[in-house]
Amino acid sequence: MRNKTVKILSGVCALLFAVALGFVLIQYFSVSGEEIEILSDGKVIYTGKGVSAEPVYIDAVSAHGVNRIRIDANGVLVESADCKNLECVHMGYLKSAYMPIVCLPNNLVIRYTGSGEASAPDAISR
Amino acid sequence: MKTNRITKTALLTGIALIIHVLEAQLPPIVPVPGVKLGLANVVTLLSLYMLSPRETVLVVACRLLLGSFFSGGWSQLMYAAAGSFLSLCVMIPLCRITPPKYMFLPSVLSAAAHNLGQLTVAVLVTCTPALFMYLPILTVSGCAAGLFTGLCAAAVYDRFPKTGKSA
Repeated sequence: MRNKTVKILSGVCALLFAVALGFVLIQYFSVSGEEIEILSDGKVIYTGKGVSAEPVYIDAVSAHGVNRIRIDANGVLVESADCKNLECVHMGYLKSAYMPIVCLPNNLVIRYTGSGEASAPDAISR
Repeated sequence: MKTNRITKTALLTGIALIIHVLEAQLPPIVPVPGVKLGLANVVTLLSLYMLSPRETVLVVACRLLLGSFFSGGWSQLMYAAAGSFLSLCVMIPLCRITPPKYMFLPSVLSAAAHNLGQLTVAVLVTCTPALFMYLPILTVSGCAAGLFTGLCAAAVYDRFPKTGKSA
């Protein structure tokens, strides 16, 4: 009985891992669009191109704190933040439509809008 | 609760708290929100095999509250609480049917459940369902972290005097 339980649980774990890994690979190689959206406290504070020849700075001020966002020729990233763990800063440039930049303490989300398939010729790709 | 069990519960809470606070000081392993080892779950697993589910819930609740107090992460408490609740919902029944040697199996599944709970709260707080896109990478990292903590817990359990539940 216990051997059967162990086998079933091992199978469930392996299946879960394989399915999740498959999705991660699909996300990693996905093509993203150019348009981005910045949400602070659930409200859209910026929509527009996710690249800029000249660096553009946006301060996302929420009830919880401030994040300084930079849009430059390479894309968009959180340059600095006053949150404790600074995970949003460590994430670097926004890379995929499937992986938005998130700052949970300051309630900030930066993401690509749309799948980006329409702008394939000059799309940001990994 | 007998003195022996109170002592064991307090001891495990103390160990879990120390691990929780120390881990909070470490820089993120991967720059993805929610990805961490969760070493304090070694103690949660040991507690489930050595004590009762009720005492394990006490250990986890005390660790979360005191951990947030000592590491100053009150804003993270609701994420941790939701994750831990879902994790315990998976871990408690699975630990009853899994031998201690294979405690990494409930650990892997509970780690995945923990991430799902945290992510659900994040989606509700930020009103951004797109955050569920993080679920695959959090599941992969949760499986790896759960396997690691489960193997650690099994190794520690092997070296423990087996007087646990009957004491």
